[in-house]
Amino acid sequence: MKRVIYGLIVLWLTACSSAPPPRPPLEDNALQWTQRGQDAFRRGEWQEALDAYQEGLRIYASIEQGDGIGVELLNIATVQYAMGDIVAMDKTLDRVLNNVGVPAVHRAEAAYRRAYAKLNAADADGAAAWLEQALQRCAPIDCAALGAMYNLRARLALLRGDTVVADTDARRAAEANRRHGDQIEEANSQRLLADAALRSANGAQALALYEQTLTLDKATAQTRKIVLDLLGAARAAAMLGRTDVVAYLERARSVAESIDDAVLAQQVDATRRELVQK
Amino acid sequence: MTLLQDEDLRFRRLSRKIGIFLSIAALGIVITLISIGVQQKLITPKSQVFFVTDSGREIVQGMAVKLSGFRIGKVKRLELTEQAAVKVTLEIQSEYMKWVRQDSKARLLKEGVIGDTVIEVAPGSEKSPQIVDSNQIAFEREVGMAQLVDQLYDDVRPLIADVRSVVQRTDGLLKRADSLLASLPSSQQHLDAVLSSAQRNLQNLEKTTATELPATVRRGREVIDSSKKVVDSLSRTWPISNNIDQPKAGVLPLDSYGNATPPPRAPQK
Repeated sequence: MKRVIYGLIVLWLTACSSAPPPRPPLEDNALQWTQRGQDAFRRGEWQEALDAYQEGLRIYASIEQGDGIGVELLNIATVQYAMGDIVAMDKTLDRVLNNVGVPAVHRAEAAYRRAYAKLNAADADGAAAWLEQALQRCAPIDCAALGAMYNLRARLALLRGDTVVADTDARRAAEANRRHGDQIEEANSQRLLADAALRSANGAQALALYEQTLTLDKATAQTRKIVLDLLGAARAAAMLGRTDVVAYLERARSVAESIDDAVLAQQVDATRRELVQK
Repeated sequence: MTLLQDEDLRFRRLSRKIGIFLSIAALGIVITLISIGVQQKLITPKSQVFFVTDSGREIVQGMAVKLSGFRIGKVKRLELTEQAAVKVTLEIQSEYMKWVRQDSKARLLKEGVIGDTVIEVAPGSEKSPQIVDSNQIAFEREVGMAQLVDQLYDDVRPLIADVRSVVQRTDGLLKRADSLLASLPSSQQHLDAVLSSAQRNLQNLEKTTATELPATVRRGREVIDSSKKVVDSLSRTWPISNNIDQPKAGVLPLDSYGNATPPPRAPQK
């Protein structure tokens, strides 16, 4: 009986240890180029990142691997945007959007990146149009960037002063981001909810939300956003007539100084002048 | 006897005529002497100043006293004082005394290398008061050629000593260089032997790398490939596979709040 039991255990373990099919060597090679590009991008070495992604793209194109092609093109577009080459980025995104071989999730991501670039270029209408296209492609398949897309739409609504739409989109975004486990975007959703509350002159709710966002941003070590959270909290505290406004501002200033961000420090000083000397 | 008159008319008043003639001649001589005196500045008003020096060497009576190269007077006299010093009195034309001031200085110098010795008075500063008649003026001697040669010799003497020691050291070095050059052929023989040995070693190394190294590298690569297969296989095996994230081509994230500005200003109530 014991032998039978041992035999069954060995059989079970053997079944468990069956290896998944190995990745083709070329694809393995392309993957290494992608990872090399990501390392270079994190170091801020744009040209090296671009070269690595293009090498990965060449390999994926040689085996007509649509997913890899989409990933590499999106990464190339991101690097080109970081380099300030908007024309090249647009052409690269077109290659994603017009390639039917690329999965819908990547085409949705391409539309989202174009919307983001439009918003940065102060083209709110263009950004809204591309964001709708992104959501149409992403929502049915619940892609990972859905929360980020709703966040961007909430930012657009805030820019237009529509706090109701901003609040709705930020709640949808928070839910999607929690579902996909994206903590950074979840914090963004919380901050947008706080921004909307502040715009609606709901100081108590805004302060609570900024505090929650601050906790999330600290967990993911988002230094710049910690400063933004503290500035938001200072505004909300000022709205409530609290005495800890200066304390929030001093914390924000200290964090901005620790990362040598002069622009952010100036923003803190401007907020201080506005709130404290009023 | 009328022809031999005692009183010729031409000799009448002869003594008077001679007197007039002699008077005119004497007047001419006096005028000439006065004009010479004036020209030689013998009768121009003069002032006296003096200086005291430890020696009257090269100073003589009548020696010219000059100011800015112009003669303004002369050495009137030299006297030996109670302290065995020499008091030299200068006679300077009064019209030039305005440039001789209390901070003026008289110097004994030679005009050129072989020129006359003169006393040159340096004009004083404008702020300094004019020197009074019969007062003392400062004095110094210019360094003479002999003194200059003495000073130069004093300066050059240590240099000559240094040069002598350098020459001695150079001699020593040259002797040592000679002995080194003499031993060079044996060193060259040693070097030749070392180079020959190194060449043989390099040839051996080339043979080794040409045959054994590629085989070693090939074998190493095979071992690495085999190891990779084993590790890959192991990494896909349960439960190890659960702890290893399978690498996947990922898209760079794009933060939706990436470049957002600080929170918006609340509306005014």
